[in-house]
Amino acid sequence: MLKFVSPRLALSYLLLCTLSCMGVLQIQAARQRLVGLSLWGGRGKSWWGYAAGLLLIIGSFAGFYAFTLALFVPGLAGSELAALFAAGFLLALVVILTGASLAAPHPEGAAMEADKGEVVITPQLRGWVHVPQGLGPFPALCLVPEMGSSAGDLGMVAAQLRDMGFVTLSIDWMVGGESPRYPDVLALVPAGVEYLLHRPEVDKARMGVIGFGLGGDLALRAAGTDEQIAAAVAISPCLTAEPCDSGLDLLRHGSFWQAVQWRRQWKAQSVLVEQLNAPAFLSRIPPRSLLILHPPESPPPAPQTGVEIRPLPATSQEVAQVIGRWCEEHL
Amino acid sequence: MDWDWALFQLINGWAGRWPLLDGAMRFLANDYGLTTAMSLGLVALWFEGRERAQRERNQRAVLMAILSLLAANLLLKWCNLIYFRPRPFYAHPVHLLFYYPTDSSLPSNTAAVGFALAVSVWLWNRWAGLGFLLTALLFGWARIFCGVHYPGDVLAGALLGGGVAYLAGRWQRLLDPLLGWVIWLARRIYLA
Repeated sequence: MLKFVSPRLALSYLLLCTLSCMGVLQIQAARQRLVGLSLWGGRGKSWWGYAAGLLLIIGSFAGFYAFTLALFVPGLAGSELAALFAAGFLLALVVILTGASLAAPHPEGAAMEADKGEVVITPQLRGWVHVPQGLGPFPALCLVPEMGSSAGDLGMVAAQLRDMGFVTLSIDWMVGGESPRYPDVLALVPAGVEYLLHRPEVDKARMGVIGFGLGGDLALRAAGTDEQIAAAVAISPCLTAEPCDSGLDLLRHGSFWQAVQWRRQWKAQSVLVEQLNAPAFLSRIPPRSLLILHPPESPPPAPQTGVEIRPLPATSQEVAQVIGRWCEEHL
Repeated sequence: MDWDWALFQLINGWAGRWPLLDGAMRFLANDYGLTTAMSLGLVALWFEGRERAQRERNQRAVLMAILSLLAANLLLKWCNLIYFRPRPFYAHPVHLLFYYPTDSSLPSNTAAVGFALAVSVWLWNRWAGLGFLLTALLFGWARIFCGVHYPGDVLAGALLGGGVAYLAGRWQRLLDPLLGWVIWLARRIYLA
């Protein structure tokens, strides 16, 4: 039975459990690269996680033994210890998940700081265009973001590709305030390609399309049907209606609250993934003109011959560099 | 039990000689240190593993450890109801580095808990199980050193806890739906 005859001891033990559980979660966040459980943002320097975790564990034990005078008198019963440990673990989990949500890099924040470029609004599309300095003609890239995010979120990648000598057009999924449905969604990439082909600084023979997430499926589908597209890059495309990652694996990519939002979006996305059926169009894309970047933990379900597959780099700057170099070779 | 008392004297005889060793053993034998460390080990094990299959194996180990712990505690309660063995300090002059527990000396609760966790984890993850096993051994040793248990109490606790965990492991197929359901539920909230 839970009596807690010494409330002060019970509170001290609860604090020990909460802080030491936070420490263990930080070490595991560093070991397993779980962004959603890390208080330092989760990417890069994982030794921060190990150091913070060890400090929390050692500090909490040292504090408990230093300030708890009633250690060697009858204190908490076994069932009370178990209940307090469970409460401490839950408390630690709430603190960590909330703290990690605040610490996790927010894509919109990065986009706000990035150079969004020149706004393009036509009846068929809405987006942002980046044009390199000089006379050209330049190779062109049509960028499709993850479904649910804005073309402006790709500002940093687009600006980096512009600096490498590409005209880029980042297109938005939302046209006229509504997210397009199948088959209307199939018109998005062709509209972007047409817009780029009509720009005087674009080399019409060197047109590429790049898609992120479900945007990758859209890019693959467009590359399989439009002969004007010479190269395609898909970054973590969905390809199947099964989510690439689920459960704890989702916390590798973002915070707990972001995972909740992804899950909500996934239901709508999975219908569109099946309708787009991008894998059926892979074979129609000419060999050596398709690159798929995928997280190493979840390789694409059915890699085909002629498709180049590389691991997804950790930062958006590295992603832009890989895409830029590959497109310089293949466009 | 002469052998029990002789072995007790051999281990407890080291107590009271070096304050540093006494301090270390009191640190290990108290109710909070190693029990919390083992619980933290279970938390770490739950999140261990890059691959989903590997992680699920560890999570099953954690759930089986918790179930074994519950079963071992029930059995301990029952043992304490039917049998009482006085603590060593009631019958003999000993070096006591601890408070005076009033419950039965046999079986040792801490050994039962420690070995229930250790054997459960061992059945699923050898390296983690070894860590738990060493911790449980250290816990039992420290309790004898501090004068609150006979070696026989620790041995009985280890057999009880370890036996319950082993049997639970053998009958794990019966518990599979429950384990699968808990892991599925944890996956729904991104924690498995």
